[in-house]
Amino acid sequence: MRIKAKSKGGVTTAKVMAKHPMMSYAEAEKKGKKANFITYVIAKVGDETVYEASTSQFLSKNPYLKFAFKGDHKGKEITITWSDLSGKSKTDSKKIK
Amino acid sequence: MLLKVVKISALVAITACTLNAGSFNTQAEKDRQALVTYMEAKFKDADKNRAFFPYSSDDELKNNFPKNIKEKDFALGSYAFNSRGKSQYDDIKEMPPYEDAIDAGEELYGKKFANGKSFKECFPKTDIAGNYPYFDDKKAAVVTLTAAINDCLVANGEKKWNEKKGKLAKLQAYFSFQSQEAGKKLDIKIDSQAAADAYERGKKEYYSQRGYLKLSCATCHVQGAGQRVRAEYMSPLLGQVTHFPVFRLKWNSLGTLERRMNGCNKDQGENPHKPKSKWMKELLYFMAYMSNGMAVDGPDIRK
Repeated sequence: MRIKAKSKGGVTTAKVMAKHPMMSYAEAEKKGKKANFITYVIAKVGDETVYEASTSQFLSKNPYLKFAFKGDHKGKEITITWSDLSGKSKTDSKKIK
Repeated sequence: MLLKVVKISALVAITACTLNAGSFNTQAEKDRQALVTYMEAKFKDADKNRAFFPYSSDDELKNNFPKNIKEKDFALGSYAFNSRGKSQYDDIKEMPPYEDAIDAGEELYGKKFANGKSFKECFPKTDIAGNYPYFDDKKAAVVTLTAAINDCLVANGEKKWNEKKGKLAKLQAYFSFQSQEAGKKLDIKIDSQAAADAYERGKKEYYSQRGYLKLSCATCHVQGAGQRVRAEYMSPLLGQVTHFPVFRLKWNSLGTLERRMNGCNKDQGENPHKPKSKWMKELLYFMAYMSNGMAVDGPDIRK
């Protein structure tokens, strides 16, 4: 996944684009493939959870998430993990600018 | 006294030579300047210049068209005069969908062919997107970047790539991005009579009516720039080629300039001209000269 994170004025903003087909049940039936989409996303800085979301079919292919959290975390690493319907997970980290 | 006369006549001779050296692009420069003048005048204040926009609504002319659009702003295409569309474009640019393609292009650039060589031999520098198309006097033909990439593959015993999408588009995305990063501008040269003739032929094609709708390219992209076809604004000729290859939301993928040209051919009710045809190359030569001097800003997103 592509991660961009910046700290400015006491607030850190993170932008994430995950690479995932995000196939809904309806689309899967039409195409004859298996439905699969991201169901859970969590972002951490160190041990602290800064973002957590349950997601579902409403997100489209290669979903783009943008969120902000308090604090000046310049230089620290943000770690983002997603898990999907099939049980697969992916984790990526990036340094916060 | 004699020395002075010799010096002055030598200076005059040198000046005459340098002035004549650029004379092959005089007409092209006139055409380009005329286009810039026309576009800047038309979009100076759309609300006041209503004669140019006979079918636009009051709301559009007052609220959607920004005022005083300058030459470099036209590189954004129809987003230059569509504030609402531009805000959507800005949102997508936060995390552009073509970034993966640039990385893939970089890999393709360094990847070795079966004979051990790679694109590095044909293209030693990567910030070259603004130099194409150019007129090759030896071949007596226009060379587009697409053609140059395929020529390199064939010269090294590899199979040609699809000229509209896929690997070729990704490699072009890498070259374009490198050129943009280096701050390069479009640098199209017309250095010979043969090149000037090719430019003139391209220009003639641009202004010729074609297809079952009998539209010329200019009808929509010079005269019609800023007007709408249903809900979509037509982009201007000025700055039209600077942002290729383009990630078109309609395709949901990257495509070369040739891909878009073929799409437009079909929309006009004309059989698409092949990317390697003389028609296509000379037309692109003309179109590129019309944006000469503008910054390379590919790859980019468009609808």
